[in-house]
Amino acid sequence: MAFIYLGTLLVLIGCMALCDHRWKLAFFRHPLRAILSVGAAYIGFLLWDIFGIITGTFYRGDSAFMSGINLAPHMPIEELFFLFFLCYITLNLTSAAALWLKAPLPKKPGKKSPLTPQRDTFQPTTTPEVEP
Amino acid sequence: MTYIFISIPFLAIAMVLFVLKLQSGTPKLLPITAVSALTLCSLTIIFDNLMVWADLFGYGDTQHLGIWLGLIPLEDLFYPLFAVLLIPALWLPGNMFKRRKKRPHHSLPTIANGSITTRSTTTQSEPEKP
Repeated sequence: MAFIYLGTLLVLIGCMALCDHRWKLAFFRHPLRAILSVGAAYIGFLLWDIFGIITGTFYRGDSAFMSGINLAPHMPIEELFFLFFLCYITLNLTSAAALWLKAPLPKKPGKKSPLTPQRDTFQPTTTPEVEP
Repeated sequence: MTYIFISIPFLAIAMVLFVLKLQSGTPKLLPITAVSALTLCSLTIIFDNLMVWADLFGYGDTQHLGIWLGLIPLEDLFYPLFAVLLIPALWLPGNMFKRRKKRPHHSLPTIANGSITTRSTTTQSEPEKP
């Protein structure tokens, strides 16, 4: 029972990674940019949580679903994974929305230049005749 | 009001970066953000309620406005709002510190350079052959 929340979060993060891998939404598309985007939001959320705990805005519940491992008063270890999940799902949603709306995304790894022929782009089998 | 006060710095930073990105001309930034904001806020309302119901966390009695969305205070939507403003601003292609050029491209016909006189006489001309 004690690890239900933590386990759920880990499974959800795994699901995000699968979607990311399948559609190249975040870390599998542009690792550096993804780390910077998620990292900035993550640090912001951690500070925000600390402010919330200091001012008594949030408190840790007494749920049987939590491991009971606390990093600080009212800061259970699960919160670290929850915040990462929140950032990851936001990044995946952003990329999914952009793909759906046919908007540009950061270049996939390996696509150095748009002029380089790619295997996944359409290549005519015969060269069209050029007008003299 | 405490919840709002601790949220203002984060929302302000995210909003500034988002507006900078918007001004740099990132294509479809607003529709992308609208779609992800609607989705993430809906998920937040559903799952935060579940999490409070499961007693994973709770809220102080006096720190929020007192507007409830089920078991969660309205201010809880600031978290997804921060994420959907900040993350697209940093993630989507383009440099947020570069303003979009307002000046039209010199090769396009404009009224200013005399290529277009009036709407009725404008015709699309063939490009000059070298």
